[in-house]
Amino acid sequence: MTSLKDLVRTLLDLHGIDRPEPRIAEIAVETDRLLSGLASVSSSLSYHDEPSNYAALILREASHD
Amino acid sequence: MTDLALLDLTAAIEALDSGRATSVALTEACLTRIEAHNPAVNAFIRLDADEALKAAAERDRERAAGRVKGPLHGIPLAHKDMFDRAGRVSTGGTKILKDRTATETATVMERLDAAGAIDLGTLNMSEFAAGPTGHNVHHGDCRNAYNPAHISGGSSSGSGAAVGARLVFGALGSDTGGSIRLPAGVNGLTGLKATYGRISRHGAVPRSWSLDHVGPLARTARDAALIYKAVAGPDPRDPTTAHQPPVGDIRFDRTDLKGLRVGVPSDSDLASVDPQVLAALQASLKVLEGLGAKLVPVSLPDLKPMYFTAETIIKSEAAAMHREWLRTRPQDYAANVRVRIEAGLAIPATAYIDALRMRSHLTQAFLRDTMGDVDVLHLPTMPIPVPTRADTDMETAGGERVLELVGRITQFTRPISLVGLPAGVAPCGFDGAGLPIAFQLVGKPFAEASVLGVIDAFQQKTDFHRQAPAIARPAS
Repeated sequence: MTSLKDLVRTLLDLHGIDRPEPRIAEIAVETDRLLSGLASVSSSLSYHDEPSNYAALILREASHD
Repeated sequence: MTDLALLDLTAAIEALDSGRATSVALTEACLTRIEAHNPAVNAFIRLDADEALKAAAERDRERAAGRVKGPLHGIPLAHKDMFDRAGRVSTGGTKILKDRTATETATVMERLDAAGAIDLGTLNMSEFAAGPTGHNVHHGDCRNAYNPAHISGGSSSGSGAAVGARLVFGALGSDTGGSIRLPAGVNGLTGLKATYGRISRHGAVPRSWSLDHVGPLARTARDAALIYKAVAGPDPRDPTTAHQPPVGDIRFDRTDLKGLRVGVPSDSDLASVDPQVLAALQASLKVLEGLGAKLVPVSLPDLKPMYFTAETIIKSEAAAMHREWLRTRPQDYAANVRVRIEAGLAIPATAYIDALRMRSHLTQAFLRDTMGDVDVLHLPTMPIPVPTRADTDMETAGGERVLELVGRITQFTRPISLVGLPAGVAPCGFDGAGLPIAFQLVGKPFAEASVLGVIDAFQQKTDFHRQAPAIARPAS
């Protein structure tokens, strides 16, 4: 978590956003929760999965009833 | 004498068509109710009474001359304060945009104008459309039409409360994780989140470009359909609306639902749903079954990955949009909104891209495994009874308990926003405190007509949508 906290602090610095240490720690916890949640499902992706596939997918599946 | 504002939108149109009412009379009736009851619900941010009355008089002159602009000719509506009108301010519920004058008019506003609708003003909303409860530190909390101690739902809070309290005949809202369906559900209304890309978002204040949807809140499925049809369809100014199937006609003549397959999640899928809510949902299934629909057991996917994926996309896109304001105007955000947006600044680009890639995967799996053998899927709108404003106040109360409660509100709506499918909600009961309970009906891509048609058939057999809040019951 310390390294994630360092990363959060660095990113906020890069964006010119000044936040106190307790808030940086909270953002690190929040980021860890999100990234862990996403990592639990993204392992099923292959390099064929493009981010732009979604729109084509729902059009293909469109119901015409 | 009947209060004209208590008519539903469809009845108001019939009254205009038959000459039993004028647009001026409808507008005055709404303005009278707004003056009397808006203080209770705090639904309006700006009221344009003089302009609305002027427009109503013009619509009456046009009608008298045989020039009816469209299906909503002379009907007073009002919309979430995030749809631009050139020369006017739309605040997005924020302090940051309070002085921003729009240079263009949102496509949906142009289409409602072309259909002849009248605009009464702008409606309260969660700051930057972030938050499912209707709290707002800048404009004051919006309040539930049935009980002001309870939440109005959000982020289209004013749209839900204004239509629920019968201050207007219908409203547009936007939905990124439930923001049409939740305020519609908790205010006893019918709401429709159309398929992603069905309705233009041009000129609407964004929350998350990849997940934002626009749609109507109204008193019935027929009312919602009138607004939906007026605004849906391709728009060259919003590329996501290209190549969609025709909007098509919506059948409201179904006397039964024979042949319709309704997907019903298993008991374990709904284990987290409150017993009162569950009982109302089960009773609504009995009504659909009684109409001839076949109830088909389905298995819901684990909703958590869908939730995480949507959250990653929303937070990443919001952080990109707000980055400059977070740096230059942090004090102008509500503290709870600021902290949720800035959390997105630390999400790596790879995680955001993975979330977009996962969206296709999860959508494909949802369509195949959950929707594959059914026409519509029956879900809760909110798994808990409508909570109070005090219990969900993230700004002044905060804490884990509040965050957990607020998180539960979007449990069954946010995953559906991720897959972009059309979803309508309608009232199907009331909890012990007299607050509405609603079911959510999810359709296949671009099958809004099917969703609204089924809700209409349900409403022809039930009267939950007619059980107005106390402030909107005719004097006896």
